[in-house]
Amino acid sequence: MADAARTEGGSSRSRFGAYVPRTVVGWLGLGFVALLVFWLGANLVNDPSEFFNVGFIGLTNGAVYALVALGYTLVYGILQLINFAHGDVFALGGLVASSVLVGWLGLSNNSGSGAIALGIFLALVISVVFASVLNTGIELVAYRRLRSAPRLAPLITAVGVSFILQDVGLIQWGVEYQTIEKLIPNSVAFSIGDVIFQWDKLGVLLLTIPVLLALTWLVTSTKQGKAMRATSQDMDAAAMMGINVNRTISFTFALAGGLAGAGGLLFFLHFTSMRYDTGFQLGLIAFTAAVLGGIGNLGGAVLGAMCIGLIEQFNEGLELYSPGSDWTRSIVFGILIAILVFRPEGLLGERTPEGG
Amino acid sequence: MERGRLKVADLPDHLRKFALPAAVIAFGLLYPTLLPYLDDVPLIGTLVPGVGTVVIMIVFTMMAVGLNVVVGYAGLLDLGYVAFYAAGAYTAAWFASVQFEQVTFHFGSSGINPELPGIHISIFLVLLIAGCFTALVGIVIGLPTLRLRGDYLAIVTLGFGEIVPQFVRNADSIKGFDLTHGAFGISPIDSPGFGKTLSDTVGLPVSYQQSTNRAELYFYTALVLLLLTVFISVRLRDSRLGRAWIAIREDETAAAAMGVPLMRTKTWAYAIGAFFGGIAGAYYASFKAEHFRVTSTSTSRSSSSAWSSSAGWGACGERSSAGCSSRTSTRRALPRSGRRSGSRTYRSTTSASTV
Repeated sequence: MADAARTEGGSSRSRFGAYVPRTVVGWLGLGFVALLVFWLGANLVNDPSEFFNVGFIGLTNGAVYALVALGYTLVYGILQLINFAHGDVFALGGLVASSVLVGWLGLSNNSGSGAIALGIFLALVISVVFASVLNTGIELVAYRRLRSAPRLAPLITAVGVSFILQDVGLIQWGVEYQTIEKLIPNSVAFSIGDVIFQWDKLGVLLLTIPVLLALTWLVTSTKQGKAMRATSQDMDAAAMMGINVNRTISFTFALAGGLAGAGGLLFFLHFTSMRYDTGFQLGLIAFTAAVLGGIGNLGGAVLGAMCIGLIEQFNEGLELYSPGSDWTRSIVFGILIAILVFRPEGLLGERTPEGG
Repeated sequence: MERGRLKVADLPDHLRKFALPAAVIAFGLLYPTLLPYLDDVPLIGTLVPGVGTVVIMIVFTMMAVGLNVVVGYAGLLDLGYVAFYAAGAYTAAWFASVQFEQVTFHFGSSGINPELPGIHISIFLVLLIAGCFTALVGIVIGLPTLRLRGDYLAIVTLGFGEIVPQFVRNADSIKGFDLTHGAFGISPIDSPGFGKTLSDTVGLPVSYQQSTNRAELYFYTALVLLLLTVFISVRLRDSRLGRAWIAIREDETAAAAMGVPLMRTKTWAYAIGAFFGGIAGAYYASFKAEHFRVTSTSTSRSSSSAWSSSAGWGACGERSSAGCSSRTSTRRALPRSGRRSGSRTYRSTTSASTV
């Protein structure tokens, strides 16, 4: 859903010429990338199996981020709105899943595998439905009236909704972290050489990849997806062609909410704890991922999320020259700033006038 | 709310421009005196905030006025404004505490043992230093990022707003050098004072900290600072620079075509907004002398409250001027934004209640 309507036409750059920097800033960016490549290379040579193990964890985390990042990018693609409340929808989805799994079903790692599978499926359905209804409701109540308002108004409304949702989570679930035992065991599924693939991490990837494929199919090959793409390109023209714009936007929000709900469940299962403000932190990271990949671009969001997951884990797990977990967030946001300054369109996005 | 605003706008000019602000200022000046009586009023008595709370409200209002320069006048959405506030607060902490005990430097500080190690500069000077330093930070942040527009700028500033708290938390041993004292924060920070000579001749207090009516002294000083801030902000808005800001806010491309230098004007908006934010931060640090620290939660919460008050301004200025593009409506929106400074006390009440 790259916003093709707003790209600059008639770019004379050749396919490869685009990668040769023309300004000091561009060369700085290239130097930055070279340094990154050197750092990764040094660590790869130093301890290859560690490198790939850490990378696998990074991909798993990236898969969770991708589910949330897709929600940002879907909404941005259609409304050009940074939906700050999205991270909190994610958190509430996860907290609802925690209530279902722990409070209601009382699952622990002693339960039978059939019960666990059924319980996770039930929690998935409930949290997805809950989050998508919540997200659609937010759009209906808060953003719909502001659609023709200046850009600042819905943005600040989104921040406000984010705070409201956080406080709802705080009232309902309290300040304590909701925790769960590892339902999916971290026993070894298989290993290639020294690289170990564990069930719990593999499970996250196995759940995420079909979702992503289904989403791609939905956006590219169905009538509803076509309506979404049309609305994102030009809302008025889409309305004139007989597309129900309001319904399409509601559908997009429901879709984004559903992804956030699934992401919340996965996050809870994978990291085993979350509370009301988890969403704010993770939302910022997921949003960074969406920008890194090129906001409004579905493939970009997934790629960006994987990159962020990898960078985080490499930073925390690798031995040579890594700043360590104290600096993880600074690095993530530093990358965000660097990307926006050096390549505002993101990895896969297209250049817009706003990026300058 | 809309109706109430219209009513005030319908008042005769002399009443609207002078009487109302004068009444608000008079109420502000008399507030500590009135407080005991206000407490006794039935129903609202329990809601009346104490003087200490009002000082914090005023500090937030100063921040909001600074943010209004960036967001409201120049239309640059800055989601990391609180980074400037933190920079100002830490400047105060560096120049008026025992943090750098390697050196002993006193300049104009009063009420402090001259043997005390660390840098101790008079808080009034430190406020200025903090403002200038923060303005510099604003320029440094602004130069690479102000090329971006709209959402992209918002995202970049958000990133800075996240990096600064983490930097502050981790900067307690940069190659063994303790810059920020990590999560513990720096304390105590000196309080303002006027020194022995002025105290003997005019009766001004030697040091706020050692006075019995500490909160009241901070209150009056904050009020003076706020009035100065509002005055400067309003005068700036009507200046050539301010009109350039508003032109950029309304239509960046058109403003550039009319010969407004975009980068320079935007950087000025950043620097001046940051200046006010830095002063507010430094003053807050001095007021909260015992326990001052910047954590991610405190920064995000206070930034949110500063938004909610000032974002309202910016948005309402924008809405009224963007909604009807005609010249008169724009002109009507402008005195309105000036009048906002009059009603700031109520605004800050709402902002404080969000905290």
